[in-house]
Order: sequence, then C-alpha cells, then structure tokens
Amino acid sequence: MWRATLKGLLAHRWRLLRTALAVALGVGFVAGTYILTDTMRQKIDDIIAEGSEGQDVVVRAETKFASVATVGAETPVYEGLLPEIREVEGVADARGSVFGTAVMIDERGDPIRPMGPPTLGGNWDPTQFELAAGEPPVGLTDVVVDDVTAERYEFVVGDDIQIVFPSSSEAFRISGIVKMPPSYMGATMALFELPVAQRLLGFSGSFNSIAVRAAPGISDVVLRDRVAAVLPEGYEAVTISAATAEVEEQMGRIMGFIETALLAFAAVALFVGAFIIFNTFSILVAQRTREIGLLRAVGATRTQVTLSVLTEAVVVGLLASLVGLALGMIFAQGMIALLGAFGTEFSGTALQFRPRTAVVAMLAGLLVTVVSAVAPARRATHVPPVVAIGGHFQLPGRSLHRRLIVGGLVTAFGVGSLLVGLFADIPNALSVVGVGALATFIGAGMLSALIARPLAAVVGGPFTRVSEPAHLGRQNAMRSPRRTASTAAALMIGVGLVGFVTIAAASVKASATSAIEDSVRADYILQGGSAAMTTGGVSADVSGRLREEPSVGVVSSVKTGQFGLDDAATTLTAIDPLTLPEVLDVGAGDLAALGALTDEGVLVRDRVAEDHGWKVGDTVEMVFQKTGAQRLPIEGLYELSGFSGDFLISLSAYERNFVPGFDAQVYVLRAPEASAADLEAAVNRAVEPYPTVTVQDKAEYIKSQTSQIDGLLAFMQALLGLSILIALLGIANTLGLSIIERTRELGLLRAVGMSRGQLRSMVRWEAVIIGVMGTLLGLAIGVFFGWALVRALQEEGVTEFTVPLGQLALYVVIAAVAAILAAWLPARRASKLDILSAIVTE
Amino acid sequence: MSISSGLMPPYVHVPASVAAARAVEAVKIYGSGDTAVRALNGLTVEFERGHFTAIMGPSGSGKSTLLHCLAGLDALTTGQIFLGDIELGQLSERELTKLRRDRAGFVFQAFNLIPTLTAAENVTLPMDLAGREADPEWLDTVIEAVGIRDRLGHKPSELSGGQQQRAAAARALASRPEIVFADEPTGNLDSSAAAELLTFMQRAVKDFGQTIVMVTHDPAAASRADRVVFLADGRIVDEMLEPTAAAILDRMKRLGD
Repeated sequence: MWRATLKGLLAHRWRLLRTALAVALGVGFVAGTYILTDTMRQKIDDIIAEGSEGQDVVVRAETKFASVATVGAETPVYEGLLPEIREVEGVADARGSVFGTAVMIDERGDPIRPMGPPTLGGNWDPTQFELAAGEPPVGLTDVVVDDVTAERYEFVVGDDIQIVFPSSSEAFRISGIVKMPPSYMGATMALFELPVAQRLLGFSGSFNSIAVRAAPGISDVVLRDRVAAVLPEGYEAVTISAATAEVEEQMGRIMGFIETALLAFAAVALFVGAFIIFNTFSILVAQRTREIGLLRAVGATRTQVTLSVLTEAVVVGLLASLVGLALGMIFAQGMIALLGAFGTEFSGTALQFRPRTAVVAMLAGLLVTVVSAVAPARRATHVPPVVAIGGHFQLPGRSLHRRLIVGGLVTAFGVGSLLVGLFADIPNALSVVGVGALATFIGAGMLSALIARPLAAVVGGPFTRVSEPAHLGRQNAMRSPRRTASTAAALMIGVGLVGFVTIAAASVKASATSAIEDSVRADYILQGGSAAMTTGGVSADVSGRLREEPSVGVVSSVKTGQFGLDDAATTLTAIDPLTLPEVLDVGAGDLAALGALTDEGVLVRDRVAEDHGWKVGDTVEMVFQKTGAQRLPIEGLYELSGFSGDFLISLSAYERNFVPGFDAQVYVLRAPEASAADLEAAVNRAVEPYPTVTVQDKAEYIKSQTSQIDGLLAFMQALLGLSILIALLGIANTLGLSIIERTRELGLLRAVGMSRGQLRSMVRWEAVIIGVMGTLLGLAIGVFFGWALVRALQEEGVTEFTVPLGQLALYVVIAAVAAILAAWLPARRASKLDILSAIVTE
Repeated sequence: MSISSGLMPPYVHVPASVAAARAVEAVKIYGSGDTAVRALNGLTVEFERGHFTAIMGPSGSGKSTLLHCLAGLDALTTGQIFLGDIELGQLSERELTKLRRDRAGFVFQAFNLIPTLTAAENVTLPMDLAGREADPEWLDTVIEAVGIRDRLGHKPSELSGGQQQRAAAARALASRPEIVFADEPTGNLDSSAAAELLTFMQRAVKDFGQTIVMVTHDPAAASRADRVVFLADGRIVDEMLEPTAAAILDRMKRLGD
C-alpha cells in the first residue's frame, strides 16, 4: 500500500508542487510576517541597547500613565538636579540630555522627512557621538548633522541650513558631521550645544532625562537607590535595564499589532488555499476512482484508502511548508527593501529566522492541507472494488438538498455573528465579526454550488453567440457545478474582501468629504505635512505670525495630546472655544457646549459620556505627564466627530498641562475687508520660514484627507492581492485537472475540426466564466459587508454608504483578464494534446 | 465539387475523375530502432467516390492506422495520402484541421458526442466551429434518415448507445463532407442497433451519393459495404466486391484472425 502511494506521488510530482503552491503562498505570508516583525524587533532591541550604552541609571520625571513613548513628549527634568546627583557616592558621571523634533530643510526649500523614522534634534554629547568631520557645535548658530543625511543632500561643513522646531524656524551653520549609529533606521539628526538645544526644543532649564554612570564596583540597583534618595517628589531613578524593558514592551505592543494585522491577511490567504486543496483533492479522487477500485479489489481496506489520500495531503502540506518558508524569507527581504526605499532602514540587522517561525509555518501548511483533504479522502472510501473491472460508478455527491440546508445554516450563522459583532455591545466583537465573515464565506461557498449552473449560464449567456468555443466553454463551466463553484468560491473570498475595503473606503471618503464640506468655514487649513506624530505639525510660531497679518480675520489652532484615563493612554484635542466656532460650523448643541468650556474644565463626546455614565457637572480624573492627576469638571457634552479622541480642553488648559508642542492644525479665516489675494499672500508670508507646513484650502484639505484613505486602501488591496493570486492558481489547477479528465472529448473536438486556437479559446472562456462568477459572488458579499460596516460606524461619523460601481465593474474586467492569464498554461496544454492519443485512450 | 483555393497547392494536377481518397506507397513506422513497428508497409489503395468501402484485417494489420492517416489525424512516415486532389502531406496543421472540419466526417467506436452539448448541437458542431450555417433542408433530411428527431434536445447521456451512434453519423453527414470515416462504428452496439446504423450508412451512399470508408472487425457489418479491402501486415492483401458475410468470414479465417 505504501509503495503504491509513494509511486503515485512520484508520478504526479509536478501536479503536487502546483497544488502545494496554493498553500505555500499563504504559508510564505505567515513566515514572512514573523521574519519581518522579528527582524524589526531585533532592530529595535539593538537601537535600545546602543542608546543605553554607558548608562546604568536614568533619572526622569515619574511616569504618570502607560503611554507609547514619543520623542519630545516627556516631562522635563529640572537641570538643577544634576549637581546634586553628581555628588551622590558611587556616581562616576551624570549627564543631562535633550531630544525633540527638528526638521532640516534642503537646498530647494523642502523639508527632509523620511516616511516613518523620526527627525531628531538634540544636544551634542561627546561621550555618545563621534564626529566624522568638522568641529563640535559651539554657540547659537552651530549645528552638527548626521553623515547619512549629509551625504544624501550633499551637506558639507560650513554650509548654511534652515531647521524647523516645534516653536520656531532658525538658520544655522554646519560645524560638523556626526557618525550616525546604524541603529537609527534612517532617522535624521541635528545636534546643538546643550543650552541651545534646551531653548530650541522647549526644555529651557531642564532635560528630557539625566543618565547616570556608576563608579566601578557599584551595582545598578545600589546606584538607583542612592540616586533616588536625593531626588525630590515627582522624579524617579530607574536602572537602565528596567528603562529599556519598558520601551521594549511598548514597542513590542506596536510590533504585536502589526504582526496581528499581517497575520490576519495571511490567514485569509491560507483560507483561500484550503478551498483549492479541497477542490484539487476532490477532483483527484473523482479521477482516480478506477485506481482506487483496483486497490480495493486487491485487498486494500477503506482505512488504507483514506490514509493513502491523506498521505498525499501530508506530502503536499510538507512541500507547501518548505516552499512557504523560502517564500517567507523572500517576502520579508522584499518588505525590508520596500521600507528602506521609503526611508526606514533595517540594514545592518540580519533577517531573524526563529524556530517559532518554522514551527508555526509548518503547522499551518500541514494543517490547512490535511484538514482540507479529509472530506475528499473520506469520499474515496465509497469507491467499491467493482469499478476496477469496468463497473460504472459515480462518486456520491452529498445531496444538493442537504447542501442547501447546511450551507443555509452556516451562512445564516455567519451573517448573524457578523451583525451581532458589529451592532451589539459585546466583548471580543472583532473576533465575532471575524468568525462571522469566515462562516459567511464558507456558507456562501456551499450555496454557490446550487446556483453555479444557472449563474454560469447567465454569466456565459452573452458570450455563447460570440463563437462556438465560447458556447462550449460555458457548457464546460456548467457541467460540474460543485467544481466550478468551489473554484469560483476561492476567488470570491479575496474579491469579497477587496470589494468590502473598496466600499468601506469610498464610504469613509464620501462621509469625510461631506463632513468637511458642511462644517469647515475656514479659508485655509494649515497642517504639518506628515501625519506621523514624530515629524511634528505646525510650529506654534506660525499662528502668532498669522495674527499679525491684517488680512487674517480669525486664527484658530488645534493641538492633540495624550493623557491617562483609568491608567490607559487616551487622546484629547485642545481647541480655542472662542475662535473655533468661527472656522468650523459645529451645530447649535456643540456651540453651546463650546461656549461653556473654560480653562478649568473639559468637554466629553456625548456617547462616551453615556458609556461612562457621566453627566455635565461630574468630574473626570485626567492624568497628565507634566502635572499629574487633575480633576476636571465636565462642562458640556458634544456630538461632532472629527476631533482626535473624545475629550476637548481649551488651549490654555493644554499649555498648563503639556510641554510645548506643535499645532496639529491651524484654521485661518479671512478678515471681512480683505481680499482673497491679500489673504493668500499673508498666509504664505507667515509660513515662509516653515517649509514643513502645508497650506490647503477647503478642496485641497478634503483631497489630502481622502488621499490618506486611498493609501490605506491600496495597502490592503496589495495584501489581499495574494489571496486573489492564490485563487487564480486554483482556477489554473482546476482547468488543468479538467483537461486531463476530458482528454478524449478534446481529441474528438479536434478530430471533427476544432482548431488549436478554438480549443485554447474554449478553455479561456471557461476560465473567464468561473472568474467572473467568483468576482460577482465576491462583490455581492463585499457590498453586504461594506453596508454592515458603514451602518456600524454611523456614530463614528461614517454617514454615507457609497458603492463605487465604476471601480467594482473594473474589478470584474480585471478578474476576467486575470482568469484568461490563469488559463494560459492549461489552454496551451490542451491545444498541444495529440489528437490520436486523445481518441484512442484505452 | 468545390475546392477552396487556399487548400489547393498550385502544382497539383487535377484529373477529370479522381478517387475520393487514396493512399500511395504509404509507410507508417511507429517508434524507432529495435522496437520500431511498421504499421503500414508501402500500401497503395483507392476509395471511389460514392462507394461504401469496408477495411478489414486482423488486429495489428494496420487498418486503424490507415484510417487515421486517410483522415489526416495521423501523418505518414513516407508516401502520400490524397483526399480528393489534395495531398495531405503538404498541409499545415491548421489546414488539416480545416480539411477535417469542412471535407470529412467521422464516426468513432465510442465517445462520439460532446457530453455538454445536445444531440442537435452535436450534429451541427463542425459547422458551428466553422461559423457556417447548416443547410436546413439537408439537415432535416439527415435527421429524418437517422431517426433521432424526437431526441434532438437531449444530452448524450440521455441517449441509448444506438441513438448516440446515429447522432454521430448524422453529424458526419450534416456538413455534406466529401468522405466519411467510420472507425468500428458498430463495435459497441447490440446487433439490432448495429443493423439500424448500417442501414442508414447504406442509404447515405445509395440515396445521397456519400462516400464512406469504414474499418470493422465484424463480417456482418462489412458485408453491407460495396467493397471490402483486406489488410495484413500493413499491406492490402485482397479485396472483394459485392461481399457476403460468409465469404468475408471465410477470407478472414485464411488471413488468420
């Protein structure tokens, strides 16, 4: 039995490899995700280790709440502590350091801003950095820049350079070039003499932190306790290992989020692969009934037959896992190259291939393959020995009646779970939605076999008049509804999700557009360009300069910040309650709330207040990094969506409780007597020293807001593209197997005068019909998912349900073309069949 | 008779009366070296227009090979095959396909019909592939003659073996081909179904002037032909006009089948 199985496997090694590829791509996605995130983690660990070299204890302001570390957001440490710390017994050295955001401007006047990595400004510290050229910075106008940036932008010692800070924009002379440690991942760095850095970065008379080095023989813990003893209230001393562990944990959480998101897409790819495996094995078993019958006739038991099929599945699964691991390496390498192209450097850290990656990838590949092959393997046992001697036998398909019931129940369960997850207030809603979507796809896949024949007839209907090959292709697509349906269902999944994200994105865009259209009264909106918080926003100086312009009527700044609420980092927005209603049409209720907001209180979004059971007049305990726990009275509830977070405070309250930072947005309204041209000139004058600032009118602002959504959509489409690719492989696989099965028929067609071209055309038409079918089914599900999501997000401000028909129609066309490509090889193989051998088989 | 000019090599001389098909010095060798098999061994034969010819011979005599080569399904190693005045060896694969579609008809032993098409669609398949309309009167005549009118809308799986073969015969005649090749058409039929099919083939020759070449094992089937050609070891060894089943059986015994 084993020998027969193995011989069979060897005989079909190419087909096995092709089948394995369907799963290997998914496995590669899983492995690649792990390799990528492990490598990123390793890189981050390296950076942290390098950054903490020569430090044993760190003195900093007490951490008030757990938050993701952001450059420049730390509370200052009073510089007067430094001499006291140096006095402590066992301290070899103590240095204060300052870090924040500083954006260099290139010669053309454009900001130098890599996508992702920070643009750092800090103090020159000879113990930490090494000069590649020039002199350390001395005085108000000296700066040292990193060698990577200097090389890329051809800066040399003696050059003049403009640099933008949170509150100012100033000119400097490059006094030296510093060697950038490779661990900085593509960040840019500008270093100044300590007092200059303190002033520029908003740390006058203070530091971000003080690094303490121990004298020989003093342990970290002992040093920590001794230093802590001299610190006043509000400061803490932590060992460097504890400090780095905190950062590692925070970064780990971010990496974990990225990992989970990517793995979700990988799971979709594996799920699609499972459909293909199921389909392939079903066809194989059907084609091999005579062989299986012979095995049974010569004494193989049913169990042996099942095991024989499952052995093949195990081999395919192992093959898929191995190929998948190799693909994973390539995937990770490619992603790292891609990130590098966008400015995030991971070079210098080897690809991290951990045992966990191999284990998970192998398990995923094996499980998906074997589980998907179980049902076909069990069906193989129904083959009676009599077929070996020419007895006619058709594998029993589960009755369509039963399929209708089971498929209907699974679909109903899926749709139900999806709706409950989206609309009911339950824990783990996201998992419930995921399970619901999964079940919906499986159920729809089962039901699609019932409608495959009529659907193929309808889809192929218009083509039958095109040519006889089109007619025959349509008939072939209709002849085996189960096969056609499960091949199309694999495509349905990927297309369904693409359709879903397309509709969701279109709806969010339409909602954002109409919200901005309806509410923004400002003539101009100023933003800091990149959305990444580390690269800043609009320097606070800009709003001051704008106010001096007579043609500017109203200037209203908006800032965002993080505070602790019940120990969790929470986002708030700071606004000016007096000027905001002039630049934004907030509605009557919100206008009243804004009127009630003082510098002592907070406004809470109505539905968040409801969730917490808060009423106007209650107090909320908000923990600020700078000032600690503050009790703020709720002075009103507001409805408007579109602000970051669900809490509004006044700008004065913000200044009291936060270190100085960028404005997130600045809204500008024309003075009544000024002309549009005057205003434009005035705004351009105000931002002239700040190339980091983008000035947008309402239409441009809408475009910039929606283009972010387009970027996200493109990213998701790319990740889902793999699932669609796998489904196309599935179409190729099914067609290839069908062609083997129809050898005699193809020979007959050729004998009675079908040309090779017509034969290829026939195979391609079948592929097109399957592809268009899968796409239509997918889009139907996508529209439903999109509708459900939009309804669920109504309270978040997604008010419009938009179905971009043109784009969806384009998907159908793309699917048809892709199906033709998928059919390329099967069609070629079919047309190359020798007519005689096709007719005279047996 | 009309010959599309694209199919006719210009140097071929067209005699006034030409056989529907002929093989000249036909040699077909399968394989090479020690395992080479000479399926056709310098065979020359003509098939007259408007005649029903049966090819008989023991297994391995080369009769199926001859039919396949005559029909352009297989190529000779050396020698020539003419279908009418066209020499098949000169034709490209594309031209051969067109020739089969437009000028030949086929009836195989089994698996004659495309399972996804109805009987009617199967009958008109070669013309549909050519993008031509069938002559409705002629189609009607053929369908009437084979007696499948009430089964036209059915798929092959819903037809009996005899009905399937008669539908295949209708397809072979529907495009008015110059010649019909039948490869053991009655091999899978019971005797009454076989008799019906053969009666129809005889009618096609007598009433419609069709040319039919049929390979068969069955002396009773061969006896319906106007002429029987006997093959052995890749050569023509004998032939018989106005054959009877008994005479054929007698001859076959001597050939050692």
